[in-house]
Amino acid sequence: MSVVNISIGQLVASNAGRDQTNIYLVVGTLQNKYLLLADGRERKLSNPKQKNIRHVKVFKSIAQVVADKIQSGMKITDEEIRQAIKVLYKPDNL
Amino acid sequence: MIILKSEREINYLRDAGRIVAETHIEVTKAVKPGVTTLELDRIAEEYIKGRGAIPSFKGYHGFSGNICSSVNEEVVHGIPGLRMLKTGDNVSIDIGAVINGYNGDAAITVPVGEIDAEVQKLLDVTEESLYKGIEQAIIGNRLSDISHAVQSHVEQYGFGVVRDYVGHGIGRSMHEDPQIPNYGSPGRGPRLKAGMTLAIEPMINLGTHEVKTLDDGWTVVTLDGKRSAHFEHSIAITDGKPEILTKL
Repeated sequence: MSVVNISIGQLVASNAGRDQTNIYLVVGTLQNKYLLLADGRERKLSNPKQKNIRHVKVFKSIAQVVADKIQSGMKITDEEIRQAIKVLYKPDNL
Repeated sequence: MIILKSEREINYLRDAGRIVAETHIEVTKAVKPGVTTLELDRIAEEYIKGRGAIPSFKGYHGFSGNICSSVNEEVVHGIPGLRMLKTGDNVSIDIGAVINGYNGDAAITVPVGEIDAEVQKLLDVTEESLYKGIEQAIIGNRLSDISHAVQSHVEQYGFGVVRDYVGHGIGRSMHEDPQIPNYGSPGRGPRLKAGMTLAIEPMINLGTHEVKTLDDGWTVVTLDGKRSAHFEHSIAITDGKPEILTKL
């Protein structure tokens, strides 16, 4: 069974809906159609945003530390999500 | 994080792979005009359970089938149902089984009766591209050498390589790192090491590479409605040639 070509920890931007232009990290997938997104601010890990894969723009950057932690079942914090987005998201070189 | 497997773990993966391969033979035997994909699903379920394993797709993120059965323009993740196969169809059967905690995962696309020469060519090229990819799974190569081998073989025939879905590592989980795209330039990504176990799975379309997901949340179809094929093996990278785990 194949997997969606988006990794946990990948940086995405919403391009549809009321949260348009918001930047998130992928923290999970639902079936193979929806992503679970968090930014550590308005969307915390406790209540990730569920969003159709088609409604996001996918960036190449992946927060590897966050991805490894999620995949190995370790706890991550909203602070780590905020930090990772801060490091990865540089509007001028995307 | 890519998990390297010990010889003992690879032995478990061989067991799982063998069950998947045997199930494929059973299911393929049953593919003929008039059979529904749900019947194929039942055959697979019975066989896998009879061998003491568990079908790994059932319940995966809520997937309701024991296998994925994708007919004609369906690329992957088709849900078994009452759709009846007819002469000229091609059906992709994707099977996963877990035994002793280790997974096997493989897929083939089977023609139903006589099919168009064009579609047969698509099936042949897709299967060849899988083996081209596997050939590159040797120590010292990089991950994208596999991807590049698949893409370059397929595109010389003008077929489309699906981008939105990719292969994956396999082991105690059905889906592990790394992701294995079927396209890309060579010489990129992690270096391949002995003990890596991968599921390589080219999904190839007759027309455009673009796909969409149907409202059931699972079934992926080609955007232009043209046929698609899917072949997959789980392999282990060894000191010599790659070992195909899901082949008898």
